Amino acid sequence: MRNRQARTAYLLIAPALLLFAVFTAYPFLWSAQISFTNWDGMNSVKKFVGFQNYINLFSDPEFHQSIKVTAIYTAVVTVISTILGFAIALLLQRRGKSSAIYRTIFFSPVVTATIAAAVVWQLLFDPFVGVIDIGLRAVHLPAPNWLSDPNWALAAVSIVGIWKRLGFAIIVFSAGLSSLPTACFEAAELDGINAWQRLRYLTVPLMKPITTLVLITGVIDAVQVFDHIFLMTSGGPMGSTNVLSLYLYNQGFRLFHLGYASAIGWALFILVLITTMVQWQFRRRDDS
Amino acid sequence: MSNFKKISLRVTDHLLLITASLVVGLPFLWMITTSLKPPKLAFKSPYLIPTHFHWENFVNAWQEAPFGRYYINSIIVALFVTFGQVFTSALAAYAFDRFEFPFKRTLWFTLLASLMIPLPLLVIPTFQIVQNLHWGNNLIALIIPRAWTAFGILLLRQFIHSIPRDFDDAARMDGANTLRVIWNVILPLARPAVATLALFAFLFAWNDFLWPLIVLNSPENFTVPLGIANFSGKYGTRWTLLMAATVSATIPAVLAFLAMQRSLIRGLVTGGINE
Repeated sequence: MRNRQARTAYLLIAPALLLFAVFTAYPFLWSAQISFTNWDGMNSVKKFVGFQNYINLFSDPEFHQSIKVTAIYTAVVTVISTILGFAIALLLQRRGKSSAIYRTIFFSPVVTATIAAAVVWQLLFDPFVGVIDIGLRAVHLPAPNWLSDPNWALAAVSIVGIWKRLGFAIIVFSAGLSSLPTACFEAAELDGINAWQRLRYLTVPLMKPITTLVLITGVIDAVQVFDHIFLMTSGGPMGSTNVLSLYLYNQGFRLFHLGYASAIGWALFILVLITTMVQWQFRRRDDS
Repeated sequence: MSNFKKISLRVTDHLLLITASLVVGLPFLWMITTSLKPPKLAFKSPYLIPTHFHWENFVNAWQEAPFGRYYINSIIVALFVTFGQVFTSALAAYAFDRFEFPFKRTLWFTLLASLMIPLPLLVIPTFQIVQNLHWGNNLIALIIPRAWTAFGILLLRQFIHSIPRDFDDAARMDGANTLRVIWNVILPLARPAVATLALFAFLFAWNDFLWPLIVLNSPENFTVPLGIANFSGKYGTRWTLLMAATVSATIPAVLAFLAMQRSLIRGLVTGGINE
């Protein structure tokens, strides 16, 4: 009986397991191996170079720049979209039924192909005909040349990142808010707390697990960002938006430095790993 | 006084929400109005309202690039990926929840840990694998590697766990085998979770850019995102044409979402988070 159960179970997980093995586990391990070689993809000769690629990463100013840009982008996009998402979800909850149309608008960027949105944002950020600079000039503010000024390009692509991410945060927070225990709030109401105290001492603490979820998925998402930056700036000007995925793509698929690109990929993986472990630590501390 | 306070609160709430909606909706408004303007007047004020409607921008865009083809390719890929992910996840999730088998915990932990692997890391070796399978420049390379998902197995397992085993047993009494139980009993009961997974799978396949960029190289195989990137590279600042192309590539997807959003968001809200 037990044997038969195990056989059925293995048959059921076989399709997922097979795809996992061939297209995730095997490439994952293989990429580690590639990162220790100087493979160029064309040549079947792969020379083992030990840790050379990783040593080179440490002294590569472009890589340092890339780490910095990725960290800033990730922090800015995740934090701002989470805070805005939480605030808007609170407003939507307070407005109840009439909030459906807003929800639709906020979620639309999530269903739009990032690349298509990037083309439109390119127009909006255009220094001559873009509505953003036309607006800024109208109120006599400085109108930067967003996408070709190294000081502003990262801000521009971050705005697009926030725009894209916001709808997801709102939906998840809305779901969380609607499932909070009403009894707590009724009891607090009887004690006569004001709106600010209710938010500070009830809603925010109760929403902590959901906030952690939004933050952690946000970081994993943002750290790998590629699409709209590829189209809007290709990492420029002067490397000011050259995030890790873009650097990996250029090293791997433009210059065919597959070994080096794989080492960059592992750096990316280690970043994700550290973030996840930090969040686990927080969780464990909260539980105890 | 209290009534006045209530009304003013409602007004400020709506003002804030309308402002936020305008900012978020701005790209869509701009895309649509620019796509309808004559090229020369595109940036003369009034900016937002087209004074003449120039539908020929769309005709021109469609003559320059086969957006219909891109659409068909994207829909094929997204549908197969969605079906594949739901199918493989449902079977695996059921097995993980209902059966005991050797290495269950190890396998489960391995699958979950794989959620942390960034896709760009996998792209280099996976491209080599796909080349060796002779799937290069073929839509199948966008489908098969993406037909499973750890997230989906996790999501469905949690939901299936909340379905009492009595349902399985009753169906088995009637002579149903395991596949029948999953298909006829479990999946219909797990509909919110399945809808959530389907939405995520579809959006993931629909938006995907890096992987198709690497795998596909002939325009007749392009998906919508690749087609748009290609078009934008070619027509740089011919904005009216470009916006007509973007509208063609975006609006149908947004409309499809609008049509389904009620059930989808409900699935997301009840299935994805609360379980």
